[in-house]
Amino acid sequence: MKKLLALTLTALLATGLISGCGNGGSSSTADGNPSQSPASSPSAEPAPADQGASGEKVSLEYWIAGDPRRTPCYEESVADFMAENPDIEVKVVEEIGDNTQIQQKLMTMISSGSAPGVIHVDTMYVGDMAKAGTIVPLNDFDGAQELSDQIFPGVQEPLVIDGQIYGYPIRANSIQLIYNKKMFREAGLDPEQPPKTFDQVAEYAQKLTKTDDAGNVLVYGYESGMTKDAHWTAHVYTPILWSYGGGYQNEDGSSGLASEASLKTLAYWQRLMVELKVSPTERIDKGFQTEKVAMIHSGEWEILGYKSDYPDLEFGFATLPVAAEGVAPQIPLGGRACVIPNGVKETDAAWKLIQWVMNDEEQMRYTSAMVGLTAKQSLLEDPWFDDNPEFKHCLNDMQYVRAKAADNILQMNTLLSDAVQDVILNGADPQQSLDTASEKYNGVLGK
Amino acid sequence: MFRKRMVLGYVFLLPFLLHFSIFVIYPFLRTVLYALTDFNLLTMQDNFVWLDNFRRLFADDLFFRALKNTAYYVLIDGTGVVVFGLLMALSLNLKRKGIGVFRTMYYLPVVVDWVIVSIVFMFIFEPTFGIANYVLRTLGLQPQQFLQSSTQALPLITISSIWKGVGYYAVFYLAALQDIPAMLMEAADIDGANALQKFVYITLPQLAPISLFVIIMASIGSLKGFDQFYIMTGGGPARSTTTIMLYFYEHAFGYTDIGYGASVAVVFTVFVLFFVLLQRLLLSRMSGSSGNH
Repeated sequence: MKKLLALTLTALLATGLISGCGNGGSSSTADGNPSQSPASSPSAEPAPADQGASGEKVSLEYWIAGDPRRTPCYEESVADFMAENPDIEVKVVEEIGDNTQIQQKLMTMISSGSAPGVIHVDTMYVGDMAKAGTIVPLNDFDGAQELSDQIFPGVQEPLVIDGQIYGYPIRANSIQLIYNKKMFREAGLDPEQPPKTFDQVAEYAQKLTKTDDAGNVLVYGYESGMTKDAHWTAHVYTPILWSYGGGYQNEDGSSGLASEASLKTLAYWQRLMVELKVSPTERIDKGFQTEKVAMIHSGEWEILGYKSDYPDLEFGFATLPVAAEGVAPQIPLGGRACVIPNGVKETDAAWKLIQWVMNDEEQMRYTSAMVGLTAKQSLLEDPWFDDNPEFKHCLNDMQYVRAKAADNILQMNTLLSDAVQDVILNGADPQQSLDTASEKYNGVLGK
Repeated sequence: MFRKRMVLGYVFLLPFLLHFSIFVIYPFLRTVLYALTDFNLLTMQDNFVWLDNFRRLFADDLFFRALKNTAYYVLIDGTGVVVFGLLMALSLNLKRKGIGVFRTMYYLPVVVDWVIVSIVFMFIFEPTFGIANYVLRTLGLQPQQFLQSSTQALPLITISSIWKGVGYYAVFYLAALQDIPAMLMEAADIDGANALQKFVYITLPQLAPISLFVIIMASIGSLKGFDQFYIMTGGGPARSTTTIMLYFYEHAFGYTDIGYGASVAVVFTVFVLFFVLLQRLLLSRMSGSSGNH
């Protein structure tokens, strides 16, 4: 009897181990059961105006994708908004957590009728959220289309689903080739002539790489950006793939991972990381700032840190290199969008807030405070950009930006990253690895 | 009278039972239920697919790869912390001046968070600029890829886990060692036993019950291994450090595919259940035969 009890208790202990881990998913989604959630019936029509007339204050929450650097700037902006609109009270909530957690929280809040008025979400999730009915279309609000037209088309496109506008970019980015001008000069390269093609990248990287007598690398000429984070590996793989004429899905929707363009992309990386050894196979933390790497791929969000922490760093921004001269660059989009969750009652106030944070002055406030670059085409003429040429360069490059759209993109990122690691780190056969990844991706896609 | 005391007993048990049902039993049953659906957190689809997730799981080579990695980790890490924990406890049990300092020192890694430990190990084992390769180069040896090598990453993380965990289990052994009645040792001295004989015939059997506890705790600890893998390698390179926990997380929360993630959790629970029951059965027989407690 005692033995039986002990065995049962052991079994329960082991059960607890697993269910404890599943807890996060199951408990919080219990409230967000889709069959009961208002999310399944998206309301295309904004709720009637419910503020102002009676003099009563309308209050709403504004979830920002903030951090210690960004939050104060967004808060100041909201304070000015409230001063202009005394009938609206906005509570800024700094959102901590990844997109999955935000989605969970949002579902719970929507079903309990307490959703925030406006939230920032990663641009790449807007399509999925719109299809799931978690957010509402904005077309019927005054000035919705005009605002949409002011944004660079490549940035706004993923926020428009089936002709309906679902959000606006609060900030956007176009990844760049960032290079060290001083190191260029030391290697006998012209600091005003960054590499334009993949061949030039390889050539420059060889000149910039330094080794000791035993052949150990002291300084890397280039950093491909390949890393253990599958999302970023795919992000830097994408523009090379596009430049070779490839994509993640073929026209019939099947996997394009094992295409000729993909093989060429992988071959280019093999050349840089395996053959020439001019790039590390993992990102080096602060490698560029400490001059251990001469060229990296990153974006305008680095500038503030460079200027404040590394005042002697002489850096330049260049448009992403391409496969051959004359080919237009294609840059994968990154950034956040403002959206209105389904079930919000104060939609008019929420729309006013969106209009406020998207107006020219506020967009320039965020841009000039270096907390996030605007995606408004018209602001290229703003005089602030004349004193900040790197930012102007990044904004101008948004003409080349397009969304990294692919079905089941997260699985695709991982499958691709697994194949890349297998080839670059384990010396596996590229064709075989990409075929395996492609086969699995087709399985995910149901092709 | 007897009945009344029974009721009172259950009343005292109630808070625990409530907590246990709400936070363990209910989520577990819910997880089993989710395993039968295609519930996705982002697209909010939720249909019963019955055993489809399990069919997919048993055809998934990555799942078995993850099982294999987990088995390796549990075996090496579990054995490591038990063996080194015992050795550490034996040395910390010596009556020397300043032994308290060492006891604190060896326990420190247990207190430090995995995030910090992982980042420090990543610095040390960075292939180009890391300290480990600097030392190797200075000694004229070939630099290694370490965490970026499919063959070295898992052993390295396992070693770091042993280093971090060993102090925790040493404390249990230390307490048990100090509980061994001095008279047993004195009797052995009188009988003329040497140090090795005393260790094999007195210390080890006396430690059997605590070993049972330590081995079960250590295996459960390593089965749950997540942070160090997530931070140091993210499951790579090329899947060489993907454990079941990581694999589960990737599907359930990375791809928001709760249905498939739940099926991973359910199958793994069954594995763990068998493993723990088997372990308990074997170990209790072993410790039972030594004839104490």
